[in-house]
Amino acid sequence: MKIQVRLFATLRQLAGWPQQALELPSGATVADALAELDRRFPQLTVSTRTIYVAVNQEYARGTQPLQEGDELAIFPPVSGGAANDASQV
Amino acid sequence: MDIPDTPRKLFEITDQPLSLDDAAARVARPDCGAVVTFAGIVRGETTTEEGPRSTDFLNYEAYGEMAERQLARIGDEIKQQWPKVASVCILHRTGRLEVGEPSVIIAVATPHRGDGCFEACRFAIERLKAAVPIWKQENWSDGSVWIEGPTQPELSAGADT
Repeated sequence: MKIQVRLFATLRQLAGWPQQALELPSGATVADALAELDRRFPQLTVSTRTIYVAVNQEYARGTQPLQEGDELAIFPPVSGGAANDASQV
Repeated sequence: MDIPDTPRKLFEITDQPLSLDDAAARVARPDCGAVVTFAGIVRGETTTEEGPRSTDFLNYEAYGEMAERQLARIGDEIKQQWPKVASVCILHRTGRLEVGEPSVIIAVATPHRGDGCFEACRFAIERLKAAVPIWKQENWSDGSVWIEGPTQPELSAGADT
């Protein structure tokens, strides 16, 4: 089956692309997709990094099964808003 | 005031400049006597572990379709928690923002000031920062870095893999 992978922020820059189709065996889960991405794009390291994933724009876990045509988005912890809490003392 | 051709969206990711007046107008209703607004502004100086650091400008990237759905969900959560809240508007800007410009604006309307508008406005910005897929890139004269927010374990993909 074929799914669409979308990357954002750091991950998009590491990979050098924002969106790409990915071929997976039927029955593959989110975790299987992450492992396949790491195999094809070793610089991504999505299996070991702290990331969030969304399937068809809903947050998802690694165990979630994927379907033909799904949109799998992978991104770092979000940092919207204005104040920069992450680096505040 | 210009009358827009189409109804204004209440939950929007946009690359256009934001205005508090615009957000307040989007939630205005004849039965609401209270509107609370919040603006998050790009700061020129941030305190870090290495001391104060000056920001040249910020760049925001969003997963637009999902972000707007998540913003609308925050609106639903607010109406469950504060049933008297009549209208919520949350706008977040993307692209390059200069110091002093608003990156996020929230407006909450209620019939009276004691009906939860202050609390709901605070709730909206906290939820946005935790769960809405938007990322900030800090830019200085000598480089840039994507900021990662604090990890929310319940959203992390690896939690049960």
